[in-house]
Amino acid sequence: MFDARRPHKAANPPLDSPPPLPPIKFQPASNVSSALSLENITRRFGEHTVLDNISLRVAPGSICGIIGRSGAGKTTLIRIAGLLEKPDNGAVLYGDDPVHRLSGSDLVLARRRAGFIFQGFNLFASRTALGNVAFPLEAAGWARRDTIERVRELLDLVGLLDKADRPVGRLSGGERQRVAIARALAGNPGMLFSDEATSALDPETTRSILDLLRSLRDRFGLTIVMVTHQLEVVRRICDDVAVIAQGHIVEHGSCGHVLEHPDSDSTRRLVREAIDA
Amino acid sequence: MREVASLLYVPLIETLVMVIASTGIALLVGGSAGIGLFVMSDPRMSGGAPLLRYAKNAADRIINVLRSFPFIILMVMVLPLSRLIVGTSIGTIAAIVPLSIAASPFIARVVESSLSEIDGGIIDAALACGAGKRRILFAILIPEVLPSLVSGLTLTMISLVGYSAMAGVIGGGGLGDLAIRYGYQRFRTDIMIAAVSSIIVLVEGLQALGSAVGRKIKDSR
Repeated sequence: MFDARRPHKAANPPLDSPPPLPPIKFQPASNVSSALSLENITRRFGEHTVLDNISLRVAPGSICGIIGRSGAGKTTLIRIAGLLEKPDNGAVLYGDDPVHRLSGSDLVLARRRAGFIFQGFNLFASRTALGNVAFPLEAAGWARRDTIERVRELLDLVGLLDKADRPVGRLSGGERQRVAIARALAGNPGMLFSDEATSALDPETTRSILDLLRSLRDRFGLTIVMVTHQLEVVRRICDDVAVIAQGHIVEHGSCGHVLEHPDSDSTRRLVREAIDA
Repeated sequence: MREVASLLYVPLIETLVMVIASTGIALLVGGSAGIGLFVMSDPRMSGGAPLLRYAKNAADRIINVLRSFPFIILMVMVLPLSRLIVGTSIGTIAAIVPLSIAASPFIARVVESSLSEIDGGIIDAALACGAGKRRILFAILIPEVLPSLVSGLTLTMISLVGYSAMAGVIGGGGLGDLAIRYGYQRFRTDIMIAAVSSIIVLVEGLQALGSAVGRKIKDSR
């Protein structure tokens, strides 16, 4: 069992980094059929039902896109998956473990099993790039020396090692999102949740971020769930896509099938608008 | 001239002692209260227990009441408390008690409003990093709002310079007391001018220091 608090006791012996630090290896989820299962999730805000009995399974090592218009409930759904919000009904499972009812330190530990990146990056302005990426490791109780070594590996992974000591306010949008990705992956999570992570970026930067995410999946078997309203994002990197409209998943399947042969009106409209644009 | 300088020396020290000590105490007491107010008002930090709303409401009321008291009345009202805490109700040390009581609710509001201005996404990101609430508060949120805390602290210290001038009423000494006793009551205009000028320099100095520290923090980001 993976435990972010004890980096030295990880099951895998060091391969390409000097002891005592084990190599970057995100928590493998291949022994379960689903890395993430959302079961009958319902969430209401007052009278308004934002998510209505939604179920979704995400295979380990896959990239799943959740696409829909603004207000369709995408962000609420991914926040529930990332344990930043609780559903009114339904269950969230990481692998086989139900995590939606956790609280206190159990909730904190469960959150370490997934990373989260945001549209607005949400970096800590009081810290450098290195300081941002170090935070999850500090929280997990890593020793200072190991933390710095691991953070440098992670910054290297996202191509920002030369900017480690820069305050994040002095990085470009794309660089900030790279720092955010490194931070999200610092605790060796098995999954990465992305909430419109490329919406604030220009098309070229968007492509480079998406390519980075795909390479992380290919190299480390990371499971990625990404919410977006941009069809080209789904088209570029997602294996599966779920279309969400008015709090329901109206279509779910392999990316190629759903986008080429849309069943629902919502999907057809999204595809048509993307072509028009 | 030499006489004026020698008369200024002790009151200046007294004023500094009153301002610095009461700021320190208010930072501890008011700072903790401010953090408490913020935590109570953010369900992600508090866990959202239903009774917290009432607790927050009660704490708000208490702080508003404390902030409403004219300082000169507060000073007289807490004389027994000063005697209880520091063993005397007159003098510079005794004056620190009402000054701290006046400054604490002010600092509580400064801390609370600074923390409330943090973008909610920062707290989400810190939670998603798998950090506990105490760590989020002290390792992320407080450093994030440091510039606004510094400017709030500067405001508080400047107010305390003004309040400390009233401490003469309870024998607290200080520059205000000097201005009243020598400048006003003994018609020593030169001492009046010296005392008031010293207060102006003190306020200017505090403001300059506060602004410089705030700027330095912002520049490093």
